[in-house]
Amino acid sequence: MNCREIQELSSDYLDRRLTPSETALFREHLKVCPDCRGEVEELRKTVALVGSLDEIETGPDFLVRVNNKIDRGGWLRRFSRRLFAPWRIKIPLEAAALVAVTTLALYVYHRTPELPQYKAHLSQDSAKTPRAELTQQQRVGDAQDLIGKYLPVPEADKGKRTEQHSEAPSSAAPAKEAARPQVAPGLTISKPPAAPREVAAGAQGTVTQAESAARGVREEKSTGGQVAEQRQRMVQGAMSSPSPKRVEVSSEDAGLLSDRIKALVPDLGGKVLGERALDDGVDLAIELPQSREVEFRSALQAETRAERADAAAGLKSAEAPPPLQGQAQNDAPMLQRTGRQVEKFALKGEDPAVIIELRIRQQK
Amino acid sequence: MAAAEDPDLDLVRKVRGGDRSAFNRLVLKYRNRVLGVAARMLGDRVEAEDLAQDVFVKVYHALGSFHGEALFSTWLYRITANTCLNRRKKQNRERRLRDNVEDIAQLGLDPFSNPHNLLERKQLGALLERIIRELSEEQRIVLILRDIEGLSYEEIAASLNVELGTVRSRLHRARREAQARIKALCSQEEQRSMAL
Repeated sequence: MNCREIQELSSDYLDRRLTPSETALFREHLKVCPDCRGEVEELRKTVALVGSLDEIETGPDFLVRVNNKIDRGGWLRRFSRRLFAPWRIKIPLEAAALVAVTTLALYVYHRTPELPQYKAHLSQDSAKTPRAELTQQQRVGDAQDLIGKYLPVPEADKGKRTEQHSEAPSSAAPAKEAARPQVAPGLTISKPPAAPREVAAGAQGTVTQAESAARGVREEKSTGGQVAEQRQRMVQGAMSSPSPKRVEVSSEDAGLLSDRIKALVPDLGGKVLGERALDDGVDLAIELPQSREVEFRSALQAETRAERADAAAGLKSAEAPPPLQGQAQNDAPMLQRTGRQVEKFALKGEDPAVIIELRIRQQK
Repeated sequence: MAAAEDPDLDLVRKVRGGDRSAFNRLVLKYRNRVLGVAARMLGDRVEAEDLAQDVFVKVYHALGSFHGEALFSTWLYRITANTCLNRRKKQNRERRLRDNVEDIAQLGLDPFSNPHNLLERKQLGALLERIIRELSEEQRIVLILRDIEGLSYEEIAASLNVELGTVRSRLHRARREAQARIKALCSQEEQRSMAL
């Protein structure tokens, strides 16, 4: 062995971990090498010094503190053990309980008729009526535009109305802004939009107001305050109605056709909201149950066809025209529904209303 | 030593059966050893005592998983060493005490002589503790377990979950490092004496 090997094996030598032959060789080298002998002796003393260090003793309350820690932390372990252990029993039990609760919730959901109906009602509204996406303010604006055509705007309200329109947010306005109750300028709407049943009743009242308002326009008897009140009521009714559909027909006698249409509309469960005389015809604002719109259009076509046929045959008579109701019943058997049925149907609020702006142009 | 010859096995069985007094006897038997390792590894007596208590709490709750594959003392030292190393990593504080050389030189001690004076022994012990704490963690734990706690190479390898050769090499380097530091103190003291 050389000095380097002695240094490498000195620790094992002190711990008696060398083989007998290695130990013999190690000792032979130490006999002849005083440096290595001194190094090994210093290492032995180092180990002895380290080993002679005093034992560090714990405090007198060490045992108490250990037991306190065990007891203090025990509740959490006991809780988790009670919750999950033994897991082969607890986990299946907890899973079964979860399934049972879910089943019960589904059972209650399906046994409560209001919940599925309400859900279907919501989805139907959002899918079928783009009107649901309109903001409250847009609907107010539409109603104002429609009613404004048939009723004069008081001078005091004109400026406000223009201002209101200029400030009206676009359809992309924030929902919070759109949800804020908006009122027509110069008007006070203290109630939110009516519920369906209330809308039907309110719309019925609107017919009377619209008719009287139309008469008021022609007779120029209404004062500014009365008109404003009528506008308010009509806006309230129209706010719950869809955007108007515009229909235009031409007639040899626009006034005559207008009278026939006005006679037809109540039979279809609808109302004439207003009338406006034009230079080249008549404008009518009509509200109808949506289910009766097709019948109305059919009757309108039948009437215009009959008028053209009469004109072609030169048989146009100055007498009062036959009731349009009869023609409509012939062309559209669905019109045979009685007025009572129509009223009941409309009052139930199951049929949404549609507003038609009918322009009858006078043929020259 | 085979697990069947473990002198603590009877107490361990009683603890597993719910005997708290048997656990307390184990605590009383090993508390100073656990504290010694913890104190020399952490270098903080108060923190070491807290850690030693935590070690026994861990032992109490983990005894259910101890099946006697190794000696209870080896298993206990493993938990102690792991807890110490984890605490060191968590606190991320590696103390390097560089002032021991000056301290020893000022004391004028000869470490390799046999100090009989009690004050000298205490002073020498404090300086040796600092020298031990200057070692790397890997060397320190092996030196503590072998030269202070008296564990065999095999027990150290089992406690630290390392190979036997790793224990030998780490222990050799730790001893040589401690020897070099003590030797440096002696030479400084000799130079100081000659200068006077």
